[in-house]
Amino acid sequence: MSQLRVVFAFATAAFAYTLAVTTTAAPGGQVRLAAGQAGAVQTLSGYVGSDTCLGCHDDKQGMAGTIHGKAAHPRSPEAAQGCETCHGPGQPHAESGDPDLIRSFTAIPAREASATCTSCHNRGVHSQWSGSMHDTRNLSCVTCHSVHSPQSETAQLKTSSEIETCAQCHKAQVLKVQRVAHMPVREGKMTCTSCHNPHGSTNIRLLKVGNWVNESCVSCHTEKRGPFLWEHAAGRESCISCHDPHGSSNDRMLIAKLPMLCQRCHIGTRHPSTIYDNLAVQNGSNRIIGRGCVNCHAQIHGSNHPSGSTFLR
Amino acid sequence: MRSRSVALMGALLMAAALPAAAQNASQPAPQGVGSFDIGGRLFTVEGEPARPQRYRDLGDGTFAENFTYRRDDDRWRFTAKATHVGYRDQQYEAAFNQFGKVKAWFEWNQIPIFYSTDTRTPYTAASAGVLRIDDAAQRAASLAAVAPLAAPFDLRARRDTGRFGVSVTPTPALDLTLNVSTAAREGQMPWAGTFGFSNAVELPAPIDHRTTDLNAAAEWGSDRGSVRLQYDGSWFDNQVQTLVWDNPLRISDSPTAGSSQGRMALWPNSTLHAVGVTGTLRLPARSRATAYVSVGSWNQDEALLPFTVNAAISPIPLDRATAQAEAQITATNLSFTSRPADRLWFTARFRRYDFDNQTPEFRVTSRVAYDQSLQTSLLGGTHAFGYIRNWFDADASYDLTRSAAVRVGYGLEDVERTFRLFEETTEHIFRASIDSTGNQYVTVRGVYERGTRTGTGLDEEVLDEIGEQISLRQFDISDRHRDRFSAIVQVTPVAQLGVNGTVGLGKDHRPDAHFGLLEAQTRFYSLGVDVVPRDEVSAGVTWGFDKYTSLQRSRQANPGPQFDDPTRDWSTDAADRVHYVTGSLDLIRAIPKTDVRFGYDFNRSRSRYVYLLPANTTLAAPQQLPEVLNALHRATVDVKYFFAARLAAGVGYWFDKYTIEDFALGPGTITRVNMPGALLLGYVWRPYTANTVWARLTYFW
Repeated sequence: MSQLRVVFAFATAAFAYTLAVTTTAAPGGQVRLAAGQAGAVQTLSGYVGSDTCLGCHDDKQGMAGTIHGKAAHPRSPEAAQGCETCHGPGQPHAESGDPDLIRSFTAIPAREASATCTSCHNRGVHSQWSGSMHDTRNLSCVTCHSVHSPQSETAQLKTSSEIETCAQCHKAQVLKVQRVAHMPVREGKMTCTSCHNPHGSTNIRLLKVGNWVNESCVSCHTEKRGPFLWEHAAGRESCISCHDPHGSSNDRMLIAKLPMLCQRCHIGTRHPSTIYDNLAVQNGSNRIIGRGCVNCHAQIHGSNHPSGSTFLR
Repeated sequence: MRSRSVALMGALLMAAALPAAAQNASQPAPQGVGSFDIGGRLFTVEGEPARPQRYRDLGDGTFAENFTYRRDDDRWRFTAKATHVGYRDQQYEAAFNQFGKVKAWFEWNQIPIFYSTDTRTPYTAASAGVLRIDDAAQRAASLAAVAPLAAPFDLRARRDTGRFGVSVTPTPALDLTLNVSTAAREGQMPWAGTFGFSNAVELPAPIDHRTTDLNAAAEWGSDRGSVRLQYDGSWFDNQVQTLVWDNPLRISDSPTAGSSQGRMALWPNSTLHAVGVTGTLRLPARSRATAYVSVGSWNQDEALLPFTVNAAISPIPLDRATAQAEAQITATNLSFTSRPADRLWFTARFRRYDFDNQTPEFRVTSRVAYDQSLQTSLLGGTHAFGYIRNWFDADASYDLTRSAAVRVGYGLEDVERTFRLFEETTEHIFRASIDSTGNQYVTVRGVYERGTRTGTGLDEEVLDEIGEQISLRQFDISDRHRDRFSAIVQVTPVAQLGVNGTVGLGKDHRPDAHFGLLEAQTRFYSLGVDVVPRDEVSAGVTWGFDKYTSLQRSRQANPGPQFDDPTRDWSTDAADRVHYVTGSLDLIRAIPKTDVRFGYDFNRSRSRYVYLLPANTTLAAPQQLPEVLNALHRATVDVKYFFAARLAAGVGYWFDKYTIEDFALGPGTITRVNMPGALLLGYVWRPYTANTVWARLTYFW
């Protein structure tokens, strides 16, 4: 019931806000032309056609090789008004040469640029863009993508690879990939978008799959999905309580070595509360050498064994 | 062989779509572009050969390394790609797109994981999941007697993933999409099978399981909004669900002294089903509302093993025969964004994630520890951990200039939990950011966040029942003050030069915790320069420094007076410092007909764990642990000389060097398989120096 109340309150607030704004605000907003509406927009004036545009902007011919330039695609700009599908009617600009009389994506605010792109790219992986973290941080589609001069093999990125694009801002995460314990990103078997959807998602941290961090992790590490008879509370709560998925200096991408990581929560009597120092190492104590606590507690992600309460079986 | 057949079949299926589409094309004849490499590779290594090939296969021999092909016209496009053909890390991709009508894609991706060549084990696999030791050695009841039987083997596994998808667009407003993937993992991994504190046993656990996922979606969209319906299904199937292994120190079962063998449950089969609906609606005043609801279930109902395999212990009746584990999961997202004025932007988002673990309690009054001895259960039965997470975020952004915006926001995260120390935690987060991203010369991005998390419904008896100190606070749910700041500055004074710097600072403080993790800090700095003096030359170098520190406290005590004695307290002051350097230099036709690319990556991590004792300590002074060092160097050179427009000869060289000093995993610590109180696999982290040389011919069509 509490969930329904929140949903109702949220919807009511959104409706009330929209009603208030629409009844008080002057009409405005950018000119928007959806692809596939060529017949409708031809009745509007001010369009000069792509040939006129390319007469001066011959460096923009590269779009012809991309899907944006494929007229056979009913949702492509080429199927509507060509260049002017995105840049708006070009007649005033073509006649005067004034750069202010055409929509230039390097000269308009980020959200205005995104609004143009998302008038078509509003489904599938793009459906959650609005209000996503990148949208909130004033990024636009053209921050990462280039319609006219893409450098990447796929996704029309401004850089030659996806990780280079992400590294422009997420330097700390990308450098962690270089550490000794890492996902197979530097080997080319995964990329940032193997886990993340930079266009927005229903999960936290723009994770691509699921609705909580664990759902993302167990989409590949399915064996750890469970539910199990005996669960490790911290693991059920969040995989990143113990692991750093971007990379680590510790075995299994743990955020600290064992047993120190486990001793953050397990300090009870006897062996969890003991100092394992260099003398213990020299004596070959099985609580610190090798894989530490999981030398015994192998089933740390959950056990389906009746005697598995301490994850030994 | 099977994997190659599947890959080939997929590629043929994709290729079969080509002629039909081509016949419909009324445009000029389609042109194919692409390239392929053939050549040979030589890999030498001094030291550990597994880690440089952790997720790849650098085996010597001839190769068809890269194959790319693209053929398209105005109506369709076909792309294909193959890498590392015939090796353990081979990968194939193909995609067909008949614009606006049909898209289909296929991928086959093999990811090896190579743990070690140092590993040895006295166990032999009698059957799947059954590991035996020679009876005579077992009868000797000594690890020294078992160790000579340890035979070397390569410890490795591999994940093979196949994906196929198709998306049909019957009308421009409707997309129907189907995705199917299957991921099989086979091999072995290091695993533990203990028989007690002084009898830890490391085993090569068998891996043989497969996950099949299916996603089907129908999505209708227009300029007013969209609706998406989707189904997700996932089936996890494990071929080896039980692991049985001999006790190296006992040949017979005893009700008190131990078991001749151990048995544990490996990962059980499980399923996931979920249906979801997403709706977006474009509203007046440049507003948009998005709603998403997903309802799903996770199920696992595998048969339960008996409490022990030890025949000398009287069987304990099971509370039920199967796990009956189930979680109902409901996720809800609502978001609303609006730009009522050109410079003003709002967003509000509510999210709820309900992980309702409905697994009934499995009552346990007594259990068998290590298959060795009957013990009374402290817990009395299983606890089905579950939680409901609620988030609310509201942000307002104002455009200072065409390219710069400031934002202030508030976030609330409220989590209700079952069977944990706090019944509920609430975190209030305030944030402010500035983002200037559209300026040609300068990009500045900065964000500051302050969060305060507090818990309610604290039940210290939960800790008392399991023998923990009641003033322990588990760090993932404890009261916490968090401050975080990060900033990025990129300056591009001229097109040929770019300079960038980043800083990230974070501090967590847990005011209520006397034991456990008390505080943690992160610091990150980086500085980078990119230079493109002319079209043929580009270079870049980045330096980064990452520091993570933490302080945690414990008490070394057994039940009785010690348990409440503060003079037995001790702390761990940990620090991990990492330096990174990455650099590249590309000379593309700077030398006639020649492309040259240099690359360099380096990172060095130094970690220390220092034990601290209070002045009035009654504990013996610890011998501090040595610092842990990890350093990785990689230098690469790739030279390509174009004999002709379509033909190039190339050589490549990779230099990889790994330096490791680790008190736990180093070969200086694990010197043999029969360590005191442990029979190990000899899995260690060793240094290596690897050299890889390539020679290849590349043809471009």
